[in-house]
Amino acid sequence: MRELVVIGNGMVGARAVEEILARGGGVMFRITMFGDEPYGNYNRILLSELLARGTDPDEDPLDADLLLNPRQWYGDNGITLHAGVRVVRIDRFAHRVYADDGSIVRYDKLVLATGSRPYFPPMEGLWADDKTLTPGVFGFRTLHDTMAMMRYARGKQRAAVIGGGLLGLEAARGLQAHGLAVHVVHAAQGLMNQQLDAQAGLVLRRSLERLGMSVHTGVRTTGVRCSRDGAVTGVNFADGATLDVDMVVVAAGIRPNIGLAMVSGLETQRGIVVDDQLRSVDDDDIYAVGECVQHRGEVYGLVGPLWEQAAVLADHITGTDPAAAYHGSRLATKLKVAGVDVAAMGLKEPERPDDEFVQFSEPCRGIYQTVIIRDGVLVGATLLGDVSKVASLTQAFDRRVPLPEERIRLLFDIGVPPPETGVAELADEAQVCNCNGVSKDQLVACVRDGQRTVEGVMAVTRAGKGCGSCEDLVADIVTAALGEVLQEDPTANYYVPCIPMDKPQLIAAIRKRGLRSVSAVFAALTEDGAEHAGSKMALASLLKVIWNEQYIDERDARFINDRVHANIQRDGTFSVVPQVVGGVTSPAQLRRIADVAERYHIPMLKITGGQRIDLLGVRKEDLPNVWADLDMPSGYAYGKSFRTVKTCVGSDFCRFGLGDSTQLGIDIERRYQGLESPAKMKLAVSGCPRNCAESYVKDVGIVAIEGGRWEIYVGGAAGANVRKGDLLATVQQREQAITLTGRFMQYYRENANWLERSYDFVPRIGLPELQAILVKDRDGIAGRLDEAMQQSIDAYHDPWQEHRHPATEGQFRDALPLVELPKVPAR
Amino acid sequence: MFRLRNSGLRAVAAICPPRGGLLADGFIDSQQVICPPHNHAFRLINGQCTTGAPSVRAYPMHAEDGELTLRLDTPQ
Ligand SMILES: Cc1cc2nc3c(=O)[nH]c(=O)nc-3n(C[C@H](O)[C@H](O)[C@H](O)COP(=O)(O)OP(=O)(O)OC[C@H]3O[C@@H](n4cnc5c(N)ncnc54)[C@H](O)[C@@H]3O)c2cc1C
Ligand code: SF4
Ligand code: FES
Repeated sequence: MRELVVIGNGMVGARAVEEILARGGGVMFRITMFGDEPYGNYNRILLSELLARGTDPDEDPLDADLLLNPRQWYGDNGITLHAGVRVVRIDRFAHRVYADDGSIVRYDKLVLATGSRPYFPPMEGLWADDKTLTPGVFGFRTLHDTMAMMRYARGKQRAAVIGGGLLGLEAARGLQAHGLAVHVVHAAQGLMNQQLDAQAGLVLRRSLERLGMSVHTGVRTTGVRCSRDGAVTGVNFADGATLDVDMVVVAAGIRPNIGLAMVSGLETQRGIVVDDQLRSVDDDDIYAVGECVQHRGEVYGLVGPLWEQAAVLADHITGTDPAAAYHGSRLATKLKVAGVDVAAMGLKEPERPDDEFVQFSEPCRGIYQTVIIRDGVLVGATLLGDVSKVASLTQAFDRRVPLPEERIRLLFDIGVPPPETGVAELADEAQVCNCNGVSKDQLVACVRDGQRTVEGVMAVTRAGKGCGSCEDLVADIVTAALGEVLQEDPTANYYVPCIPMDKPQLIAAIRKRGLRSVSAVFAALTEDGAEHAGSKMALASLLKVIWNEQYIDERDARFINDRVHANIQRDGTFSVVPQVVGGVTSPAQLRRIADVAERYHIPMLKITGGQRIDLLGVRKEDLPNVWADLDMPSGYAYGKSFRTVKTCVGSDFCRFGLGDSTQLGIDIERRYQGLESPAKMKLAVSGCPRNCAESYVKDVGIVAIEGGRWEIYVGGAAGANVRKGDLLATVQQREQAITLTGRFMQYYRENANWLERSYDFVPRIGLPELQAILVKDRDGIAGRLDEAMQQSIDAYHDPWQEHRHPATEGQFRDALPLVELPKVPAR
Repeated sequence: MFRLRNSGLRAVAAICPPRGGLLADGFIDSQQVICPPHNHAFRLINGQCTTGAPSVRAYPMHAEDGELTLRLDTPQ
């Protein structure tokens, strides 16, 4: 395995690793992470929240909300984490990194995600010594900073926050919550002048003053005054004025951490200079990502664009998409600053004389909104105080969609329908939570997967757990999605339309009353005891799953394919697919197939996608003889049942093989052959992650990985739907793989709706739920599932043996000997 | 020709009009037959399609003393 080393265990470093793992990087790389901070990765954005919440500063602040990746996550994913360890040097020529605890680690690929640190402008009295700030002076970047601030604030009266940008205002709001009188001192004229124009800055200022803050703009701080014992007592301004305070927070901007890259000989300007693949322009083996990066001249300081970078990096470093490229981000931010909603995108002011500029200001209510349009396209917008239009504006901005003639309609609904339409209009992939990179379709999927509350969805997706500005939108989307789900016709959950029960209820009723045939079920459970043709097949399948050999078979409950054990074709002839276990055949088998094909004038022989041979165009009356002469078991190519296990040549013949995929496939197919199920089940086993047997897109797909282990994927598809399976579990032994495959299939057999393929079933139940039930045995039913599966296996018999004793007279007689049917041309 | 579970007898034309499926191989209940390939459903009593396809012809039929009689000339 190759060595991947990540320096920086902050929000983007850890996110990049998550993205890499999601692309199978856990198999390609041994991953080592260094982080200067002594914990797992936490949500830095929530520090504002933490400060404002003002919890007991001696409590453990790393509660579940704050931690994004607890220590255990690293272990679970095979990542070595050096927490509290700082990397001091990179030897690019020896491919090694040196850390301050003396450790040396070799890398094949290196990722720098060192983030930034607060910028402390030159000011008299700021520092106690080279490294230590004067007691009572703080930066606002880390958990440590935040805790120290909270501890110090106890019993203090007044604070100055130097810097009126996002961070400064957040710090100010936080300290206010601790009961301090807060002065915000800002060198520029307008607050948040990075994002807002002067007018907006003024409106914001009013809002903050209403919240009780003192705001000083256009004032440069020149020094910090201290008492005799060295603690802060006040600040001095350039105009000679002074302010007495007990503590000072410096939030005058941030600077990317580029020192390490610089001493290691990588090109740095404001940040570490990278190309479109996020690689250092000097070294193809070194990537950089996050706030420490400078890409096409831009350095980003909000997470939205950084998530995009992390995804591109992962695509490229894992080879998932070698053409992946980051082209920079158009900045659209939505924040809650000191309790005030702010959204800003693109330009903040018109730049050209013919730029259209629409401006609305209502300072008393703290509302200020602008849009800037150039050549009919939205190129900038600012919303302050009222961000109800942010969704549609972001869309107009991102996609350059046509704008309403009356520009004011961009900001206001004038005599038009209610705002709820906004949620429906929002594109599925539109990002809703910028902080945690959650899109609308992810929220909707979460509801579909069974979350029924806004809180539940927020906990699972982490949406709204950052700055919180998106909470309303998240709630709206979840509510709308819930409405759709709940409004669904209750009959949609019925297993068959004529019996008002879902599958678990129906199974319980059938068991309780001992209903062993389809006609018995109709008689007992439908409203008027009437049978219903359209429900027969589904019931027959279910009864077979429940009763196995005790099932009472009725011919009229069988689909034609199941009556004659072959697949009916367009012209009324049949296709016959004998079992070729694991796709491994022999000269004798091939010879027999060839002989049969000649003897019965089979018009077409076709190699199937499931690694078998299909004899097409067999006449119904020939079926028994064809089977007798083939003398091979049925391959079940016609039923709603277990079909095949596709295998690759695996460790026996392939030089990449990590496990004997062929034998495992054969064993699985022998064991589970022909089992009825709600829809067909196609399986595969591959000998290594190259995945030649296409295991990632099967109902159950198994892949051998390093260390003799097997990964089990479920819910994959590569038909009309394409879906990569979800990794249910990684197991040490092949026997476990066989058992778990069976357990999953039994659970699917008992719980999936009729004709519901695993690619719908797995997302419906949800992977974590499946893992809890099948792998961790949370509900204590694993043993019962295994047992039920064993009973089905024991009850199995090969249907093609019916050629000896036809089940009914005329079973294989052509229904219409005298009618000329459409002919399918033979090749 | 179909024998129903309640021992009634029904007869309809053999071929499903839209796509040529074999109705004889279909699923039945007391009311309808469902054609295997595309699931079109026809009422056994009069051949009317309930799923939007053209109808098939239905024939009156009865059993007497072990003899099955089917009338081909009924006006539809
Ligand atoms: C209080 C606060 C509020 C914020 N609010 C928002 C918001 O509302 N919305 C928003 O989008 N963004 C917000 N941000 C910005 C957001 O947190 C950052 O953009 C994001 O954390 C950047 O991630 P990163 O991984 O690049 O850097 P970081 O998260 O800073 O991670 C870098 C890590 O690397 C470590 N490191 C550095 N050098 C070394 C070394 N040599 N060896 C080992 N480890 C090293 C550092 O200790 C740090 O842990 C906020 C930031 C703060 C501080
Ligand atoms: S999946 Fe791996 S082991 Fe199997 S044939 Fe492909 S490369 Fe070889
Ligand atoms: S956008 Fe900040 S929490 Fe969602």
